[in-house]
Amino acid sequence: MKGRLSCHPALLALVLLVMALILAPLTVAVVIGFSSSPFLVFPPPGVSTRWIAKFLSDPQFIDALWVSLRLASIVTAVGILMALTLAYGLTHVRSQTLQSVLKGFILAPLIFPVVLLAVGLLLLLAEIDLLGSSFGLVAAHLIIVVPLCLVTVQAAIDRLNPEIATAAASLGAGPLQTFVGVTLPQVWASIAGAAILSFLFSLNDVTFAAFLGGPESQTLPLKLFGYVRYRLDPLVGAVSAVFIFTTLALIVLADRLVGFDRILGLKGED
Amino acid sequence: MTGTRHGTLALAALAPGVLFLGFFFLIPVLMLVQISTWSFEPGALMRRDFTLEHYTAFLTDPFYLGKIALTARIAAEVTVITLVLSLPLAYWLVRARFAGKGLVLGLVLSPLLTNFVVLVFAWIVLMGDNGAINQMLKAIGLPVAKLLYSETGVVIALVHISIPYALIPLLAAVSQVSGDVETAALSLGASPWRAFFLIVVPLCGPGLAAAAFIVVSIVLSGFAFALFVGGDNVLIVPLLIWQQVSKTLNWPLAAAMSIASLLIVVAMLVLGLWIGRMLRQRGMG
Repeated sequence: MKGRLSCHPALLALVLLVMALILAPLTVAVVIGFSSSPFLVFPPPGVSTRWIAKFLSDPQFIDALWVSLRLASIVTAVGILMALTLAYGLTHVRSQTLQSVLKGFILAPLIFPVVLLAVGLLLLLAEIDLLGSSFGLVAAHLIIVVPLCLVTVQAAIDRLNPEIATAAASLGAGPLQTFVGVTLPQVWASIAGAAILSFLFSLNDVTFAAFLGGPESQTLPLKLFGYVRYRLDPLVGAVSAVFIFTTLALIVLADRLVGFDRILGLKGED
Repeated sequence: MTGTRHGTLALAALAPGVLFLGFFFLIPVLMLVQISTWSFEPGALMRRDFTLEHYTAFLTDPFYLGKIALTARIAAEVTVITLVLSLPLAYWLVRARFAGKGLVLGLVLSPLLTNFVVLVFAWIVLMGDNGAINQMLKAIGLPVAKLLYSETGVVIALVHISIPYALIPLLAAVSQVSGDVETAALSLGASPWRAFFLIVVPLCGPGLAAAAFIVVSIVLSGFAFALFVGGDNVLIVPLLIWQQVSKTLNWPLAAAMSIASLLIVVAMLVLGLWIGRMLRQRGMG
């Protein structure tokens, strides 16, 4: 429609500018990753895959990559399971007060600065001798992932038509049977979205890893963190390129599978 | 009878998650409070007594006060710039209609899903004295800007990572503003921008507040950006905390700084909500 702000040239210009700002660093990192130069020069003199090959043949980086992938898989699986049991418990707990108190408690970690949570966990893990272990890092990631998954899944459950669950119950299904057989299949898209977000969060975390990581939990971002502090060469760009392409692939997958507008709860304005 | 059993089942389902968070979230936060009152001895790490010396040091020492002021200024700059850039983008993403919107949303949110080190690396390449940005500035005849190892550079990097985080509550906020209200304003002769500022922006108030809170939280965790993009020139509080943890090993001071900065943020939030309410009341009156 004419006069609509969403087609206003000034708004479009601003939108394009912000999008360019958002994508510029990612693009630069990828371009450097395919540089043919032995040094960090931008723009690179030519294109080659030498740095990608160097990354993929460096056992230290590959080990770190496996540590990261294993960690992210465990965090995602445990996080989703915990969030689903919590969602079940929260929808079936009878006391309204207990429900809102527990919900507030479970979501609380999301509003604390990560650095504060990391320092607190550092103290606890040092006390129980698990500092530097991969268990410690899994626990750290779960503190964020569990509430994140719960918010995403709970929002989808709340949007469901409650009469379907009532119908299942009136046909004799127990509450657990109704939840697993009727409620969850209706929100599988949000569960998948939450799983992808959790996996990417864990895979990319630097803050917790920098405070809590150790030899046993040398994740790829932590390895890169150490590397960038002392050396700057296109290798970091190559690792970045692999990271960014993995992320993009998962974003496309999430979009195909669920639709990003649906993950964000933006569906239904058409 | 079955009612009681359902209740028990619900509580049993809640137990693992709640106990887990109790142990790995609540206990660490309580330990943080406790240890922040222990004194620090360089050899023995900490002594289990009671002192408020870390709080008084952090909140009265001119060095730390300067860094708190620097952090607050950077947080304020990053928050304002992020909100000004994100709200129009969120508005456009919700209102505009085009194919492949889901994918554009994914791309816009992608920095949120890549790690800080990748971004830091890119900023070093872009912002160096001979970096891509300065080469462009030179090419069009502008003076070279000091970006890397400067406050400006840190603000740019933090705004960049904050935009996608801010977009999440803002997208939800804009999508709850009915398009009809705007259409009504337009049909009554308001210009599109006037309708945006007088209708969309105020109705997005809660979303803007949530976004502001998230952005401040990001700045308070942004030690990696400060470390690499700012270097020793931009010592914001999260970087000081990290240095205390990893170099000086003064954990009590690190704990006190974490708690004090959280309290400062809560105070800022309360103040922000209060100002918001005052403005709304004035707008209505």
